[in-house]
Amino acid sequence: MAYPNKTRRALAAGVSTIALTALIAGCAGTTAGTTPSAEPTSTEPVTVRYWTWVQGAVDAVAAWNEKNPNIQIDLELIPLGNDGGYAKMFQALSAGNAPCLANIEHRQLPAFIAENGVMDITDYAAEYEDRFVPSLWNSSVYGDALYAIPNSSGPMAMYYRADMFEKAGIDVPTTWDEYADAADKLAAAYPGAAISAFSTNDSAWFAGLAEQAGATWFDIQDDAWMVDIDSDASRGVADYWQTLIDAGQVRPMATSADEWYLQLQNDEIATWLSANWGAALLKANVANTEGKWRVAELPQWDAGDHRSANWGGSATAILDGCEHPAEAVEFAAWLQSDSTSIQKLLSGGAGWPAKADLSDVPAASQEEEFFGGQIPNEVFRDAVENISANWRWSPTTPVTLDNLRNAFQDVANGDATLRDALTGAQDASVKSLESAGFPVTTR
Amino acid sequence: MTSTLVERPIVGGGEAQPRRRRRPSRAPYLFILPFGLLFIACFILPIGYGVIESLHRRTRSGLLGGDVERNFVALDNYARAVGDADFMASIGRVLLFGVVQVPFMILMALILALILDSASARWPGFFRGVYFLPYGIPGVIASILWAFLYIPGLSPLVDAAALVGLDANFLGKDTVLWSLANIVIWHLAGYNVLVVTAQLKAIPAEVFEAARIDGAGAVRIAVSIKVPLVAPAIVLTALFAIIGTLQLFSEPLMLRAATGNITSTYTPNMSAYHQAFLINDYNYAAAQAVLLAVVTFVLSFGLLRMILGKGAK
Amino acid sequence: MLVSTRTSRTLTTIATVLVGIYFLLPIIWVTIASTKNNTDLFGTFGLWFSGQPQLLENLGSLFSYNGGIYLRWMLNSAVYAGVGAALATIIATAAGYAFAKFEFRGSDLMFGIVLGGVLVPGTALALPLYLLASQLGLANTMWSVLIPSLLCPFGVYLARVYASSAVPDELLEAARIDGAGEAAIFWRVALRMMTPALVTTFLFQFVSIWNNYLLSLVMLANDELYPLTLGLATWFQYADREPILYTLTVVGSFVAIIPLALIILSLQGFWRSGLTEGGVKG
Repeated sequence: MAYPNKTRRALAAGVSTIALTALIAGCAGTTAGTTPSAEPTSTEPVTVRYWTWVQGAVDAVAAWNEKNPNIQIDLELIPLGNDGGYAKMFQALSAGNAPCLANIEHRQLPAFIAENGVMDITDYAAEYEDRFVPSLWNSSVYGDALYAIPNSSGPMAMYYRADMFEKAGIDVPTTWDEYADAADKLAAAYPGAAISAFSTNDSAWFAGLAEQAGATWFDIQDDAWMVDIDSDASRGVADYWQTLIDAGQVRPMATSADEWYLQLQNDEIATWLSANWGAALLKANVANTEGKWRVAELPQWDAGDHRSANWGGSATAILDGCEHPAEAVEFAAWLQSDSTSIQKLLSGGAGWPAKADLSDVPAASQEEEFFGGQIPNEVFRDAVENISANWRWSPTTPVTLDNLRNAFQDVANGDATLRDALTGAQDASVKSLESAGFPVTTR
Repeated sequence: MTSTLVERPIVGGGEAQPRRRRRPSRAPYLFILPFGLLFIACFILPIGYGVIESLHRRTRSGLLGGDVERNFVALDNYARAVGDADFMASIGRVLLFGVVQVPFMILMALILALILDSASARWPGFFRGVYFLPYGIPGVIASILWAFLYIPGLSPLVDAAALVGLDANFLGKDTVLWSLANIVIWHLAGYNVLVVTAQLKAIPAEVFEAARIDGAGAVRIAVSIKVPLVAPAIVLTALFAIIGTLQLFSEPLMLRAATGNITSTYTPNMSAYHQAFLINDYNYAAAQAVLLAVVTFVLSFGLLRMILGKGAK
Repeated sequence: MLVSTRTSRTLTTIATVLVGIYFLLPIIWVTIASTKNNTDLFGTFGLWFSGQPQLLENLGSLFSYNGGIYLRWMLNSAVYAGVGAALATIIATAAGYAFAKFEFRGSDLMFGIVLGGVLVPGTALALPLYLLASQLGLANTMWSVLIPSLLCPFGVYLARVYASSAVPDELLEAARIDGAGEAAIFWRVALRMMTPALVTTFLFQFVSIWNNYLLSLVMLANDELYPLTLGLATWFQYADREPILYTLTVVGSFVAIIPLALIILSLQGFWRSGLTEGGVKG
C-alpha cells in the first residue's frame, strides 16, 4: 500500500482549504465603514502613507519628515485621479490595505463617501478649522460630517497670448461676445489658428464654464439628488461653444496632451481658459512661449460681472482603515496651511490654496517672467472670491464625466453636437444614481 | 536518459511470468493534486464566485450611502447587460474584429509558412525567427511601441506619408479598430507561422515524392497537399486566436492614452473593468465578465464541434 | 508558365525581406528612439538618429528614476513569470503525466474539465479572481498574481499527449519492478524524456504570464509590486503630464525587449519540436 496516511492527510488538507475558502467566499459581505478608534497620539514613531499626484508634495513632505521624526510620511506619486489614480484607491480600499492619506478632488469626494471609503474626521480636524477658507472647508462637509481637509480650489481665469492679441489687434475681451469677436480677428491675422481648444478629455472643464453661467448640475433637494445638467444655463454655454466649433475657431481636442502642447508651441492656439494650476503645465510644456502669456479674468456673460468657476480643486482625505487618523489629520492640516508647505505646493502645480491667510506665502503674489512680469496670482485671488457656493457634485460623478468625455469625442468627430452631449449626460447621470440606489429627482 | 532495463522474456499467450499486478495506486491522484487544487482555487471558485456576485446587487439607502444592502436579483444584471447599448456594441466590436482579423492573420501565417517551406526560400530558419520575435514582446509593450508609431508628431510613418502627400490618421474613429488589428497581427502572426511550419515538417517526404513524380509543380503541391495536411494545426490556432480576440483589453487600453476614439467601454473586458473600478458596481461588472466568458466558450465550443464534425482531428 | 528558379528565388527573397522589415519595424524604431532626448523624440524623424545620441544617459535616467523602481519592476516580472512558469510547468506536467500513464477512476471526466479550462481565457477570470482575493485579504500582494499564474491547463494537455507518445510504458514498468517509487520514476525517467514538452509549456506559460496585464492591473495597487508591463503602462499613461516619461517609456521598452528576444530566438528550436508533438498527435 502506498502511503495511505500521507495521502489521506494531503487530501484532507486540500478539502478543508477548499471548504474554508468556499465558506469565506459564501459570506461575501460589503465593505463596512469603520468608526475610527479614538487613539491618543502615540509617542512611538508612526509611518503614514500618502497618495497624491501633485509633484509639489515631494518637497513639502521632505520638509515635514525632517521636522517630525515621530510622524513620518511615506509619499507615493500616483497617476491623476481620472487616469487611474481613483481606480487605484478603490482597489486598495476593497483589498483592505489603502494608505491613510489620499488626494481626492472635490468632485470625487461624494463617490468615496458613498463607498464608505473615507473616514469621518470631524473630531480630529476641529482644531484646524480656522486656518481655512470657510467655503472650501464646507465643500468637504456632507451631512454634518467632515471627510477631508481642503487643499485647494481651481479658480478659473483666461491665459492668453499677448503677442498674438497685439498682432491681431485684439483688446482683452471682458465678455463672451467680445471673446467671439476676438476669435474672428484672430482668424484673420493668423490663418489656421484657433482662439481656444475645447477639452474633449477633461469634461470638468466644461462643467466649470457651465458653473460660471449659473448652472447647478447637482443639488440636494428634499433628501434626494436633483440632476439638472440639461438646463437653460448649460444649453446657453453649449450653444455658444458649438458656434465657435462650427466656425473652426475652436478646436475640440484633448488638452494637457502632446498634440495640444505642440499646437501651443506653434502659435496655433491663442488662449486657455484654465485654473491657476495650469500655469505650471504651460511652463513645463510650452517653454518656448515664455514671456508671451498674460492672465485676465474670465469673459463674462453680462458686462460688469466678475464671476469665476472652479476647475479641479482637491482635498486630502483620510481613507477607511487608517490606523493613525490623528497623526494623518495633523499632517494634512499642516500640509495645507503651513506657509513653507504652501510655497512648495504652489510652485509645484497645486491648485489655489484653501488656506485663509496667504500673506506670508511669496508664491501667492510674485511676479512671473513667464507672464512677462505680471503677477498672475492676483487675478486668481480675485477669482476665488467670485465662485458660487452652490455647486455640488454627485456620488456618481465619474459616470457623468465619463459620459461627457465620450460625447465630446463624438463632437470632435462631427457626429454629435454639444446639446446632444448635455442630454446624454443628463440621462446617464440619472440612470447611474438610480441604479446605485440613490434617491433621485429632476426639475 | 538512462534507466536500468531488465531483460524480460516476452512470451506469447499467457505463459509469461505472472506480471505483478499493478497495485491500485494513489499515485495518479497525488500527481494531479497540486494542479487540481490550483484549478479549483483559481478557476472553479472564481467562476462560481463571479456567478454568485453577478446574481446580486448592492443598493443604498439615503443620500450618501448610509446602509448598503446586498440583494439577490437573479438575472437582472444580465438583462441590464443585454440592454446596455455600449456593452452590446463592445461585444459586436470584438466579434467584428475577430471575424476580420483572425482569418487575415491565419492566411498570412499560412502563406508565409508555405513560402518559407518552399524550395525558393533562402534562410528560412532566420526569417522564421525574425517573424517570431514580436511574440516575445508583451502585448502591452507592443501596443506602446505601435502607439508611438501611430501618434502624429512622434511617428515616422505619419511623417513618411506626409512626404508623399498622404494624411495618415491611424487613430481616427474609423481607423483605430484596424490599427489595433495591426498590432495583434504583428504580435501573433509569427507564432502561427511556427505552428504551421511544425505541421509541415511532420508531413512525410514520400508524399511529396509521389506528387513530384506525378508532375505537380511547387504551387500545386502547396495548395493540394500541404494546405489540407496542415489544416488541423490551423484550426487549433484559429481557435486560440478567436478566444484571444474576444478578450481584447490591454491593446485598446494603451491606445486610449493616445486617442479619445477609444472609449472606456471599447471592448467587453474594458467595460467590465470600468464598471468594477470606476463605478464600483462589482455585481454588474461580474455579470459582464461572465457573459463574455459564456460567449467565448460557446463560440469556441461551437467551432470545435463544427470542425470535429468534419473529422479533421 | 514556368518561372525560372532564379527569378522565383529572388522574388521570394524580396517578399520575405519586406515582411521581415514589417516585423522588425517597431523594434528598429525603439532602438533608435532610445538614443534620443525628449525634444528630439518629437522633433526628429523616427527612423533615423538625432544629432546628439545619448543612450547611456537615457539608461541612467531609466534606472535611477523614482528610486530605481524600474529595476524593481524587472525583478518582479522575473519572479512572476520565471518562478511562476517554472512551477506551473512542473505542476501541469505531473498532472498530464498521470493522465497519460495511469488508468484511474474519473480520469476521463477530470481531463475533460481540464480541457474546458483551456478554452476559458485568463482574462475572463481576472475580475472574479480579484473579487475573491479581496474577500480573502490577498489582493495587492505578490501572491495575488503569482498563485493564479501557476495554473496551466494547456500544459496538462501537452504533457498528456507527449507522455503518451514519448514515454514508453515498458521503461516505467521496468523501473517499477526495480523498486523505484512513482515520484522517483517521474523525476528521473519520465521528465527527462519529456523535455520538449517541458520547454514548450514553460515558454507558453512564461509568455502568458508576461502578457496577462489585466490580472496584475486588477490585483495590484502598490507600484512596488508591479511587473514591468504594468509599470511601463503606467508611465506611458502619465507621460502627458510629465514629458520625461515619454523618453523613459521608450528606453524602458527597449531594455524590456532585449532579454526576452534573446530567449525566444535561442529556444525557438525546442518550441517547434514541442508543437509538433502536440499538434500532430492530437
